[in-house]
Amino acid sequence: MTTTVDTVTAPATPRAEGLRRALGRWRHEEKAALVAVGVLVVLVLVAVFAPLIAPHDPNAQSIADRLATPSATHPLGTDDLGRDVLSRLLYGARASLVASVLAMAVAVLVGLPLGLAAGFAGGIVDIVLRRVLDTVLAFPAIVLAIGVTGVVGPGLVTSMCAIGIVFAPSVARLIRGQTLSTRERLYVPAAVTYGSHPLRVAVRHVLPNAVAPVVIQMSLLMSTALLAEASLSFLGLGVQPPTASWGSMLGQAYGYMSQAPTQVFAPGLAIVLTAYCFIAVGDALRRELDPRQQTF
Amino acid sequence: MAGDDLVVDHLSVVFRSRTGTHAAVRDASFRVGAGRMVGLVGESGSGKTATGLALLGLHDPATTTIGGGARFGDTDLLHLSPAAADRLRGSLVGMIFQDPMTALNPLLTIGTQVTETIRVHEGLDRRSARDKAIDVLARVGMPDPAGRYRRYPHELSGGLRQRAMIAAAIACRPRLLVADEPTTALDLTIQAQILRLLRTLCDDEGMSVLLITHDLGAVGAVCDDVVTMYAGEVVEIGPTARVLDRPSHPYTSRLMAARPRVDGWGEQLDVIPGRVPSPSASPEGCLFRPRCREAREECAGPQELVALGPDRSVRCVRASDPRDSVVVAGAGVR
Repeated sequence: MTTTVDTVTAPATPRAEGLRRALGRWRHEEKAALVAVGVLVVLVLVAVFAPLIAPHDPNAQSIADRLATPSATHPLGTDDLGRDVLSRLLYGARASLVASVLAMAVAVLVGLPLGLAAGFAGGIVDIVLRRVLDTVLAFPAIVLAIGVTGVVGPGLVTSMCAIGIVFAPSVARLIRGQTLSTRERLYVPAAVTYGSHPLRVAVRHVLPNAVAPVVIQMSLLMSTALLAEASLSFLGLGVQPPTASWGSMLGQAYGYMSQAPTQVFAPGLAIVLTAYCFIAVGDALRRELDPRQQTF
Repeated sequence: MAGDDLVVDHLSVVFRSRTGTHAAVRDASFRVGAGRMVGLVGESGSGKTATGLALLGLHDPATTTIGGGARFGDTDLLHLSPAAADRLRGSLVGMIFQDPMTALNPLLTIGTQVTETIRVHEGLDRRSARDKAIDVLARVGMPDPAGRYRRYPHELSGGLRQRAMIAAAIACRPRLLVADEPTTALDLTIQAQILRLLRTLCDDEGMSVLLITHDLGAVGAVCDDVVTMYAGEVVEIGPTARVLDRPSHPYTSRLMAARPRVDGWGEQLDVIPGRVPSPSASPEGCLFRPRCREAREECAGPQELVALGPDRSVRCVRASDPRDSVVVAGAGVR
């Protein structure tokens, strides 16, 4: 037995070691995902430090310079009100990323407990919750968001919360299915025989073993939420002027397609690239976490 | 401690499904004396595990009806509020499972899982719970308990995992331990170690153990008493030595004859033909009749569990008939 040796040499936190090993493997097998992670990290830094790196005030108008082509002072040109596109793009990352995280967080915070409850409690709780979730799922996300903004007025927070609510059933269904299969593992009744309260069993023993696919789903939801934010802001229901978001920039640029066709490229590419990065990370996570694709 | 007997009284476990009801256990009565180790034996499908799960209230009430009674000392094990059941599980009644590979949560360390019982019942702070858990690990013979405390289940061998499982079950010194085939998934030398450990817990701490198994060798090695179940019914009860030397029920003797033996090289294994009848299609009268070599006319009538002595009873018409003596060649286990 090598176990006595292990106790001496093994690191104190096997989890940290597992992470390091996974990263080492990713360097060879998941190059695209690593690049995507890098891009996302840069994006977050840009969003956080936008005031420091932006060359201009994103909201400063200069009507004389409107719709200017790229130059030394305005590397990406100016928009229809003469605002610097690069600065607006950097600031816009804030609104777009915060909106995506918000919608994803609402989806997980609402969906996870509901799905866990439906799967763990079963019976009448399951039946009722599933009907409610199916009803919500039948709503097109954008339509509900438009409805909500119609009631409480346009605004990024309310509309992204509405988007999150519509995403919640997909998280709930996923975690419910996982809970159903995890519940049958022997360590669940075993935990019951320790005298643990059912809630404790659900949160401590079932949830951590059921949550992996939700982590994958989260990164895919981020990309969907980013696109939803773009759509809403494009329609004028998201961020309100003069605040910049990629969606609102795209919407404004769209109005001047005939005069300044290059305007749509900066926000458009930013949206596509970011959404792609989320999906790439999600796919890599799935290859890493999906037990069916596990190879030893 | 006197009076802390497990008394199972006309216990029945009935599973309900869309296609009908299935009685997994019917009218089972037996007793586990304080500090004694009792083997509950039978083939797959004989109702052993259903009985064990019922004692801990682990059946889903939505699909299972439990009748009769089960008391441990003064405590009614079957009619408990969910909160009272949580309080008793782990502190009065513990359970260990067949497969230590799957009965431990793969994401938590051994220590966390042993500590869980302690923290739930004794409300100790993290530090003292940890010290206590390491003590318990040492008590179940875990080598290097402090080091193993930090390990995850996949880092341990099967035998050590089963020891960890036992540690989690006995951490709060339950008075009764239900062990559901604790050795089936282990290799032979480890089986012997685990059985010896259970016996030691029984002797040193006065814990009562209900050992659910199909391994008569294990029963012969460690149990005080044997309860044989067939198709959900208790068919024979008695002290181990006497039951295994002279089984009174043909099923017990056939079970013993069907054991593979080291010195039986080249002999045909004496298997029992047929299989346990499904609960929905049981024969009339004695349930073992279709598979029994000794079946006769009286066997078609209803069968009662008849006392043969103060501590021995059997459900077979032939047992109370002095003209009959069931002796199976080579039936002795030891």
